[in-house]
Amino acid sequence: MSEQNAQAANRPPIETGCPDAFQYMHPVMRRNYGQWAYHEDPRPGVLKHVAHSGDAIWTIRAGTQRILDVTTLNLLCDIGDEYADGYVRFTIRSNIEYMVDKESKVGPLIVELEKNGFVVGGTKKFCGNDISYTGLVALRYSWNRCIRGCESYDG
Amino acid sequence: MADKHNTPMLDELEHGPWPSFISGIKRLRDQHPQERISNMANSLLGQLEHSYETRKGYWKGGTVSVFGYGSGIIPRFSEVGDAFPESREFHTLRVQPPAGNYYSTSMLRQLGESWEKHGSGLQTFHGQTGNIMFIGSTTENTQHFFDEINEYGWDLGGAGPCVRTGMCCVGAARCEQSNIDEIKIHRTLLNNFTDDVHRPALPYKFKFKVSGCPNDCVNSIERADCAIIGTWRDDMKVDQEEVKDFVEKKGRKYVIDNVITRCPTNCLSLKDDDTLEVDNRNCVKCMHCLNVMPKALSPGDDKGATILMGGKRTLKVGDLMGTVVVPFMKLDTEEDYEKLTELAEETIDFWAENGLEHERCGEMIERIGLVNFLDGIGLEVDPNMVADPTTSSYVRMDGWDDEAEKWFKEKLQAAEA
Repeated sequence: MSEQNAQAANRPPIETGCPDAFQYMHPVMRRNYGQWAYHEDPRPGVLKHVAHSGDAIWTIRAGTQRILDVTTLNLLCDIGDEYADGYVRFTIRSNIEYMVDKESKVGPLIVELEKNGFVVGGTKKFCGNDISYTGLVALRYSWNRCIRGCESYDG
Repeated sequence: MADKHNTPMLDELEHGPWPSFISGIKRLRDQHPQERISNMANSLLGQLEHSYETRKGYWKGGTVSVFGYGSGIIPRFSEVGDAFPESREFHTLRVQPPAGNYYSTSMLRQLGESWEKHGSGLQTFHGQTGNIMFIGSTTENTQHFFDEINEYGWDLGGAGPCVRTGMCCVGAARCEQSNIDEIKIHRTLLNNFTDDVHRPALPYKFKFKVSGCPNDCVNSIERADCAIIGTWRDDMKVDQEEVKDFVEKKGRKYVIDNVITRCPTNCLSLKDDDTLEVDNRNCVKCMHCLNVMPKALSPGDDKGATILMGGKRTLKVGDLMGTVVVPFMKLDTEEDYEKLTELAEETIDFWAENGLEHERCGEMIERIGLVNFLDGIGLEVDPNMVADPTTSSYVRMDGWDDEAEKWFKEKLQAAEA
């Protein structure tokens, strides 16, 4: 293929930027956006948020290995579909959070997560996920990908 | 598959209760139906073990991009590719997540499927830059993977000297302390600078981060060149019945030791009838009492944002926290959002003109002085712009009278206008 043809075969990018979050948000969160009244901490790794409308949502937080293989990602999704409502979010420390609209779903979800080796916790005064920039927990992931290995991270 | 590499040192990382990424890569090697992926995983484990043995990294950068963009891919070529050929090219794609990091499981599966088709099957939600990191693609496949996910709504993030992918906290979607619409601010700013995200043309990186309250759950003050932090300027709301309830449940000693005496400016007082008195004028919004008593205390009604500039981690000069450049601005109407976007544009333009190569905005401010920076972005100096709340009663008085006269004159002009 000539260079010109190779160029023509390339498709111009669609510059959509940052995607809309509401389409992926739990309906209870969508309904009560900006209308939350208070939260409680039923147990480590679980948060209960109550809205002015009286709606409540439970968040179950679990630690992951951060670098997820696709098998683990699918497992997390399976758990989310069967024991939660199919909506998740990630904290900035790469913990996964499942949101459910009924208290009765909390217990079985925690059992399932722990059965599969995930650590439920990391809310309030408990130890959270240990994170690394791709080159910060220097002697670990850095060799996996980062060229700057042991140098400091200037984020 | 070729012979499995022995990984005695990596195996050590599989011990303990925390899920292990080594076990994950091994799952890809041993169980994944696609030979391409299992070979890639085997090769990667081999190189990583080699790195552990020799205590050296073997990744080199380079130039890889997708058609039309100049950034978003972190190229990695192996220096020991002959020994570990299947992971010889192991580039990372940075993809912008939805503001607030929300996903449906079906979307996660779809992304995973696309990545299995073209990449290594390893990904991180999310890197410290706030991006989804798809780790491990050949040069050719970066384009195929991007084409596929771009068609269903995903775009690359920033890498290199450009506007970087933003971050915002969970915010109004699930938090009672939220003072602003974090998701809207995040998307308004980032998507205004889409061109600057994809085409690196700045002195160095520029980050936006949005936190809904001064708890600053995304560390914007430490990390972001432009931090938007929600706050309020009227009195915090106190539900006295809930305060009484809290005192009854926890006891006076607990409340005094853990709430009242922990107020950094001593503006809380527990009265004899177990109600709370707040000296709002001296509140520095440290958020401690609101965090401990979320049912009883909440932010006020007159909400808005504080804008800080120049935060960054260490580089030319050490870690810098953001400096307040706009003490308070309302973010309710479209005009307010326009004002915010204009301020961001002014800042990036001024820094692009005046910043040295590889110099973060905060370092430029250190070099040229805050007054010159403010002048450059068209903001008036205001006594409310504080780097830190004062902890000493010592005040410098040189030039005081001139400045005071100027201040009152400005006030008068503003009142007349």
